[in-house]
Amino acid sequence: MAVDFEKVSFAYDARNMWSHSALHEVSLRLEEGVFTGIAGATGSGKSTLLQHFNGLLKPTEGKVRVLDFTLEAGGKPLLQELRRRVGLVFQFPEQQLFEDTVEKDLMFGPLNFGMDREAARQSAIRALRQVGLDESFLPRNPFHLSGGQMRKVAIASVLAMDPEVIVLDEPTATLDPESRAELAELLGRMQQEEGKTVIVVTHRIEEMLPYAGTWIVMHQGKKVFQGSPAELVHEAARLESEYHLAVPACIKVWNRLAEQYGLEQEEPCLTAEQTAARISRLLEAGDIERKGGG
Amino acid sequence: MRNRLLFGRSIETGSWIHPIDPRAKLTGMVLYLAALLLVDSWIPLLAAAIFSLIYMKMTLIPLKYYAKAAKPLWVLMVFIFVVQTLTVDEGRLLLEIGNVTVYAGGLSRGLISASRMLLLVSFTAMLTFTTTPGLLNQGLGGVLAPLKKIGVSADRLTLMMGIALRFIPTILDETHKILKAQAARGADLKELPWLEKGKLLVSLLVPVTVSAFRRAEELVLSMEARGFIIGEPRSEYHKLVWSTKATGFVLSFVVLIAIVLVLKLVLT
Repeated sequence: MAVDFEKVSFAYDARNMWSHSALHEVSLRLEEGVFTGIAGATGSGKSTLLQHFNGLLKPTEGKVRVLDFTLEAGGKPLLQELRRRVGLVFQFPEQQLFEDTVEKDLMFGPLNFGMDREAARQSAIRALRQVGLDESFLPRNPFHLSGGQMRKVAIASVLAMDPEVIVLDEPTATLDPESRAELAELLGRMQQEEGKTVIVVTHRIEEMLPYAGTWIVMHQGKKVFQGSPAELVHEAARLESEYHLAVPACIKVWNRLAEQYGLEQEEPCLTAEQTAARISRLLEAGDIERKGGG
Repeated sequence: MRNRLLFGRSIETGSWIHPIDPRAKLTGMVLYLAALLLVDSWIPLLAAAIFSLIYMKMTLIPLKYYAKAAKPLWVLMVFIFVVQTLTVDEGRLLLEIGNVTVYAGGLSRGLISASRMLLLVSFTAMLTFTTTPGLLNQGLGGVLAPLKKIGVSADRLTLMMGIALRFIPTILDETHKILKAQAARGADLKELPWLEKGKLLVSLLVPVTVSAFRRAEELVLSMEARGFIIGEPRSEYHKLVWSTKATGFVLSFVVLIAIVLVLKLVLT
């Protein structure tokens, strides 16, 4: 079990007048090596949820188990090791770059976790390759890179710690479509080829649909859905009307198609190519039927 | 960090003091300061303290928030107390250790001065507690408007104040976010030794400054794009209205000064 939440509630500023709760009795379990997408409207508690994964926030009530660490209200576990094993990439991570070379920024994490300089440098290079950049970036100043490159460097700075669980808060926001697709693919590869547990918060469900094996939908601090992509597709209409979930066009198209041709029991086709192929087969079948009937 | 910051945060409780014209509140605070400056003995101090407590109660804001507002200045209060106690040589000699002498008069003076400071800081917190920063700023503009006659631009000052107030929480939030990101990469400010803490805080300056400049530029562009020209006449979103309550509010402080003065005359 990579992540196990037991009735976790969290309130900001728990003891004063500005207190507002961000999570209500969230229970969820995520297996190791699974790609999970977390969706939900703004203010639904997604980012608060993420910060529980590596102990940046501790639950005000309930229990969080991540890998073999347990976080509870009032408890004071050793977080350093947890944070090495769970890499958390915040929203707009490029705004957190601070060193004057890419190399130093990438080595910051590994050095903090006690690696020696040579090992840290090797990790830096490996992480840089993982995000599709090469060693020529090492001596460059991160503030002179393009937005997309800065984002990749910032993500690499977390990958450099070689975490087992990678948690990202809207990693594709404000990137151009090409970089977005690249990034989603990179995360898919991390999970499939290296067996990492990947957890991604996203506003654009369609981007992570090809990769995520589990989906969680949050609404006003509560978990309102957890299930496979197929289940998400089945419940899309309800989630949209009840919880204002931004259901992507590909799911809507499939649901219309399924409704019209009675395909509800089939594995949904969620990419443009798959859907096109399925429609073409439907049409062919229709032709045969018509010919057969005529 | 953010949790402890009370400065500039208004607390809405719906008391009758909240909607009073910010100009009246500012005037009231200046009069309050004047009254406190006149206080130099225990009975007027007691009167001022009772007056303050009544007002604090009327804002419906728990007293502990006022106490919290005064907390950051405790060093200053202790300093005032110690200096007054050691330098005033009046009344009975209470204590003598080498060169250091403490007289009853000095001790009493020290306590009075420190209490005045405590009253001043906690009471004036009422201003920011009951007024949103925007309104406060507008009130300040109103109070400073006469300065135009001597060539000081109140617009410029209030614009600067307004922007600064507006960005304190934003920049703090941003700093907080970067600290968290650093913690996620193994540099938790709470768990580091002092020297490392210092280094980390210095390294924070880079991203925070970069983003502050970026924000400033965006702000300038967006203001200009909407035709903002400094010093030009502008209409106001909220019109300040001077109610009879506002007059009463200001008058109550005049009464406080009168009480303090009368007590002073009667007692001497």
